[in-house]
Amino acid sequence: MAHEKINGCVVVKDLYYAVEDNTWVKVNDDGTVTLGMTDIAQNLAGPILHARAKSAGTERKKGKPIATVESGKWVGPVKSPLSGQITEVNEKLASDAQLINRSPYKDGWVVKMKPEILDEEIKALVTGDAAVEAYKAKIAKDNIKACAQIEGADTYE
Amino acid sequence: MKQALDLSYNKYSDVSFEEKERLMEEMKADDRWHHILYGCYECGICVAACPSARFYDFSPRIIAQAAAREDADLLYTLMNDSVWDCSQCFSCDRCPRQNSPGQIITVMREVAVKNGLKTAKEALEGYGRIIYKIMATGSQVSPDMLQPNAFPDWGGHVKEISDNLDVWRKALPPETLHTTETGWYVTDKTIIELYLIWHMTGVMDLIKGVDEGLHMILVDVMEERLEEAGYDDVNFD
Amino acid sequence: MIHLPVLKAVDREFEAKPEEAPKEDIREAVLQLEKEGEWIVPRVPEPFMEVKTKFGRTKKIPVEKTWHHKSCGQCGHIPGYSTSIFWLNRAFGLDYHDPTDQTSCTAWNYYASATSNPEAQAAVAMRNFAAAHEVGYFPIIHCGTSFGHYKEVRQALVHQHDLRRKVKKIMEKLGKPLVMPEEIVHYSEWVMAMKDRIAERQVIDMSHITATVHPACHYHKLVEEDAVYDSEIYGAQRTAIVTGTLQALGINVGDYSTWFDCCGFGFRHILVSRDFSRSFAVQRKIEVMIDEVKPDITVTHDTGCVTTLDQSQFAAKAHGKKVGLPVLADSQVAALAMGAHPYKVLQLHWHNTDNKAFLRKIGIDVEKTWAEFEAETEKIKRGEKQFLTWEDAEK
Repeated sequence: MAHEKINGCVVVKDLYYAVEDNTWVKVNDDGTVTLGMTDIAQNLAGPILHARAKSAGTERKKGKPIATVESGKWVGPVKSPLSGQITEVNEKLASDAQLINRSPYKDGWVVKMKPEILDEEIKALVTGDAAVEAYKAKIAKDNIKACAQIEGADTYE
Repeated sequence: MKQALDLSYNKYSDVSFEEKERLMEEMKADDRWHHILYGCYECGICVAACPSARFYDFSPRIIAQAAAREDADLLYTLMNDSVWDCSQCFSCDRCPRQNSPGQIITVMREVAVKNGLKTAKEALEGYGRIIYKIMATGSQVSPDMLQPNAFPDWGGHVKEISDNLDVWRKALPPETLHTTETGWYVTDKTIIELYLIWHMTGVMDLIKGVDEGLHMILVDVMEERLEEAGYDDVNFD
Repeated sequence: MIHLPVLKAVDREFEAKPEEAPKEDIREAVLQLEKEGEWIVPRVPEPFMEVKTKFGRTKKIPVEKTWHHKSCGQCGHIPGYSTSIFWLNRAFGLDYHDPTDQTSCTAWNYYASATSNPEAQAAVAMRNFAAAHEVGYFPIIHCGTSFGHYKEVRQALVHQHDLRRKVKKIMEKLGKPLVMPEEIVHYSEWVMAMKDRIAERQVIDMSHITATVHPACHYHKLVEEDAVYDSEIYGAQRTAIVTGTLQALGINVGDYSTWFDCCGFGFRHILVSRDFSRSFAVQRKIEVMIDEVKPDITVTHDTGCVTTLDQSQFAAKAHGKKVGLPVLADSQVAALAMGAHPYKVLQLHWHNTDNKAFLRKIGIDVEKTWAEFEAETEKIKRGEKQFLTWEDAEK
């Protein structure tokens, strides 16, 4: 995965990002998308205790929650970057929510979705170098000094 | 070490006096106001009894005084900088005038939350999970909240509990306590009734002012469950 | 060792006369509103016991047919506390109900964050009272804060007809009647009213045990008039709750100079500003108790107090503070005195500050009883049984 690290926070270049909501989109060959949380998001949450996604078949509009994430000190939504119908849920998260901390871009994906109007909504997302630039700005603005990785996290070298 | 409270006049100079007065009027309009404030002798009995006064630069007397004198500016400063130090013990209810500084503070906090004051949001940072638990499940704390990273100052004992949680919960004689996500078994019907109460009393709007993300997931959970139970027309927008 | 006796004035009786009480008897208004058709007032079921409250009034305490309004903090973090209350009821063969149709009083959240309002709080209370009435049992409250808060709600609903009207509408929408019980009873009042019956069945001698009592703020400071007082205990100058129970069990109750102080729980503080809670609990309560009385245990009757006093001692130890005082609830001490198992019933493994020295001092074989409990948990782990049942606990 081509990536860049900003203050130790990983941004994978070929994904699309909703920068403010800290979610990523992977466009799959079969027309579905995979959605997840960014490295920054997992860092802000801390070790995750529960990650409950909405079930397959649920229709979601962009901005509405596709999952609820709970850590020792925080509870919050994973807001959907796109509108569509959830087709699959990452079953592994039910017993191992910390997969999101260890592998936010690969094994810790949250849901797969059949997007409603991908071509239109993807315009509001950023990818590649533009994503890296956008995150540089956000990390500076939000004063994120570093991203902590928990034990067993994916390494990006 | 006490951080000194700055009570200088017009400390919040970026807020208009009209706004401070409006908020004071909101406090005074509360149904409880006339039962909790009868004027203040400045005797200080409340301060002597107050646990927060020993730890913070906090005084229930100053709050009662400001309320009794209707000092809108001072009340605004106190509502931002002081009211969250109160530990709500009501030791101050021993007031010889039968004031309740503790309840005055409760009213001030509600006004702060209702008006989305930044200091209220800051005071409640880190508290979101508890609100989520109580609003969504009808039970304030749950066994699975006993995690070492949530209570590090309680020592290694917390880890012992969290490691054994599943079995230890099953080793409880009362049948209603065989739970880990809630304190006890709460029936679905009961939860629905609770959600309807939150809906009918406007509590969810208060939460929206404190934490939008929290509000979003709560509303999501509640609307889904209410719909399943046949209440299609209940929404929290 | 300074052993402070519990004093009583010798040449004067400070007798509280109900007719001279400075505060109204809210129960009169409650019954009046029933006459006016505003709500249903379930009466305390007979037979009931009687206790006196602060201004010399009589309060009725049900013996049985109780609906147990459970406590979040107890059930969530110190479940042996709730278990001991049920165990006591079972030991006397009493008819009680442990409901699933019960929500938290939500007062902890209310006091912590003010993300609620009087209407919601009153509706939650009334919903619970209606649920009890629907199954024909009388509510008995486990938590001190629930108790204090429900007393507050009662005042508000009696005096603010607008609020009462709104809450009644909410109850109607839920298909429930508006119900206000004749008395609002805390479980520790039941324990105290039952103290002589408990002492009759005491099998463990505690006459060599010294304890300090911590009375919950929300029990006796919030709506002060509805707390148990007894002319034989502290000369009715302080609430008799818990002290009466312990004395009936032969325990020596030592006085200390910060008796009236809060434990420092703080509602929000115990969760997000914990330096306050633990500093206060240790420096104003635990250290003073240890310095002035050197008790074997400290006993209280509220969830938050048990939690704060018990959990705060760990961090304080690192600062070289004088700690190590086991914390128990009155119901746990009463159950223990009657022979309840320290782990299967009292569930003392959920408590933080070490209590083994106390258990040994009253002749309990800590290793043996722990092994008995572990034998049960092993069976659960192996899948041989699903739960530890009342039958197992009462063996």
